[in-house]
Amino acid sequence: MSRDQPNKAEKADEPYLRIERLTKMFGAFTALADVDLEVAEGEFICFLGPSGCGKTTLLRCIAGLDIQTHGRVSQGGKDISTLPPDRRDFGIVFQSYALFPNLTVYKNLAYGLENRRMDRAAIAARVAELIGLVGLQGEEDKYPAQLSGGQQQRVALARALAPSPGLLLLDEPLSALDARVRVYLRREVRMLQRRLGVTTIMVTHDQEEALTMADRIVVMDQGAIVQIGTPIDIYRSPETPFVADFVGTMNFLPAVVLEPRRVRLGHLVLDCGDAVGGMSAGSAITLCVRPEDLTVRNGELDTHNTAPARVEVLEFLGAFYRATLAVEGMDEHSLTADLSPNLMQQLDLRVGGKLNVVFPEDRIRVFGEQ
Amino acid sequence: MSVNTLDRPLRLETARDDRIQGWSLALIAVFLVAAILLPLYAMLSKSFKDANGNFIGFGNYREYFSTPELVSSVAHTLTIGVVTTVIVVTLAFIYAYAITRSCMPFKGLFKAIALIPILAPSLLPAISLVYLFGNQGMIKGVMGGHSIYGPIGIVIALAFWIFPHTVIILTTALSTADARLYEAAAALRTSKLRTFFTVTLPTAKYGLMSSCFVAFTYAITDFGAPKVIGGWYNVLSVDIYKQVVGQWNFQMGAVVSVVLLFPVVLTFIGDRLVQRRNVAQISAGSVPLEPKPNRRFDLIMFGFCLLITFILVGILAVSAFASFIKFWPYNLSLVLSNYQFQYTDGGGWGAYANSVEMATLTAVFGTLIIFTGAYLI
Repeated sequence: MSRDQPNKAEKADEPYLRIERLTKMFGAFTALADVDLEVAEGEFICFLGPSGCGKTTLLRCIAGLDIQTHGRVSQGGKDISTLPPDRRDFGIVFQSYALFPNLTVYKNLAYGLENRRMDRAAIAARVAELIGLVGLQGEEDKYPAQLSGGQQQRVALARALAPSPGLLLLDEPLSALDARVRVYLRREVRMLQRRLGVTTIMVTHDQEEALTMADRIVVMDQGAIVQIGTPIDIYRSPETPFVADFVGTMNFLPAVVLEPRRVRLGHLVLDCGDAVGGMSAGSAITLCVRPEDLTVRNGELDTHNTAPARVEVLEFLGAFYRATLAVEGMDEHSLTADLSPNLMQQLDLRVGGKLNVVFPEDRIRVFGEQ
Repeated sequence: MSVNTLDRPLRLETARDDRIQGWSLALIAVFLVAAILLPLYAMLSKSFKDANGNFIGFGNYREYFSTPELVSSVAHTLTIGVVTTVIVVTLAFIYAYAITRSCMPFKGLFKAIALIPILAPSLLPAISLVYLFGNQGMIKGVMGGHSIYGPIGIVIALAFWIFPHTVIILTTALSTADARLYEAAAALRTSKLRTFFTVTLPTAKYGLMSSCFVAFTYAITDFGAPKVIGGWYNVLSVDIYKQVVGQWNFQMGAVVSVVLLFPVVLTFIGDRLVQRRNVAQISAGSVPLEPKPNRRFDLIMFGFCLLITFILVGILAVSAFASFIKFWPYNLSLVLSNYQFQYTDGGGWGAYANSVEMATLTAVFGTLIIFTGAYLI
């Protein structure tokens, strides 16, 4: 398969996968509009977005399962825009596993290798290797229907990896599994990907999955890429309210710019560091702060970025409590804060209790009115 | 009312609805016994008796199997069954494949036309074949010296008549397919041929087997086609008719019926076994396959369907046409006189009215009984 390997010389500056101005129309509906993306070799990329955002369509265009209306896809420095799937170099795993139900695990894994006319002994060796890789020793002669969902998905993963493709595409591979298996397989898939160093793109609508697995996350909405960045970038510095809302939980509060580093929220005046940027005084903004970034304390009022509040609702979520706070001077806008059980005990907090809530200056983000 | 003793396994007390359901089911069971098992018993018992009603064991069977012309019809019937099944299932599979997996135009129309023969008795294609290829046939030359009277005619007539049944089963079997399986195969660089054998055929396997059983059963039990066009080629179903109606030999008729029943029961059991293994081929989360346009393939499929529908409609048209001809082949003027049933013997319009009446009653009560039964179960 040497023809599929990228030329070593151009590897350094050339991305392994490059997507340029890719547009996909379904009739009059635009599923993808002028998408540009570059993926480095060995990277683990997650396409994250709500259903219908175009993330699966983009994956299918990369695979050649759907052909884009216009735009270019190049892999390993080669333009593959018009190649059918069977002449591209990728392995794919679907949410529904899509194992051949009439073939055993062994036969499923050998399937792609037989298409490449490998000899029998080489196939047997490769299948044995794959079985070990995904930990399915002893299941070779079973049919897919005799395996659990998690096992089936491992077979699907091994089948996709069998011909050593240059690109691994995962279309919501873990969505059909139970929570526990899902978390376990997340780690497993990630470790396998690191070990093999195969460039991987995974589509998911599960932000936790994207945050834990990806090197970089591509957040998509309405057929366009909204933000590309590392999980920490995406979580800490969302560039649009959509990203802020879709990834993690966020308080959205209407506010007004007072001066370059200061905003007015209801009757409160808050310092917000550099978040305001170049916005002029008087412009309406949305102030964002994550529930876990808010800190609470009782006792005397620390004047800096602090406001008195009352606990309205307490929701127990296992590892933490999610509190809905009514903040004095903030009118009808309530605030969501995540509080650790330890803190709750220390402060002896209960519904109706009073406390002071602190807005950490460096954790506040601001979006201009759109 | 039972006392809950805490350690005895509990059973839900029967609700009123359940009791009504139980009684209704029992009623239907009685009906089925009366309508199906009793005649079967009558037939079986008759086959073990002589003309005077004395029990003679396997005497009739011995006599049957020592009569060469009767035994030959067992071989004939099986031959007709196998050949017809192979031909009709092959053609119907391609036809159904065209309807479900190609992007040719007029798919709905093709599907509708394929079902037309279901409305005709098996006599009809046989009669048409006589008009076309018989001794005075319109295009007799096509036969190249072979006679249409015999196995060739029977197989063609049966193929016409069974075609819709197999097309229905196969279109259903082929219309449920998981697009993801085809995509997985494509991603693994699988050839079209290998995809067909490893993905398409296994998904349609049960439908394919089921259609074979149906075709075989219809082919060996049909009476109309071999009676009209069978010539000297004797088959079991016609033998029964000859024994019972021709010679008033009910005992031998019963024997032949039992002999014929044997392969039918075998295919029925086979079908049941296959259906039991027919576990969900389509898993949750599978995506229905949408055929993609392919000019060459679509054109070939369109041509094939056009040819088949031409034959189907042609056979039908010949019968319709012939019904208006004064006296084939000597006077080809078109008349309506053949529809003056009052001049035909055997009841004329009365027979027509009887047929309609019977059909109506069967439709009403048959549907009622089957619907009730299915609902209760």
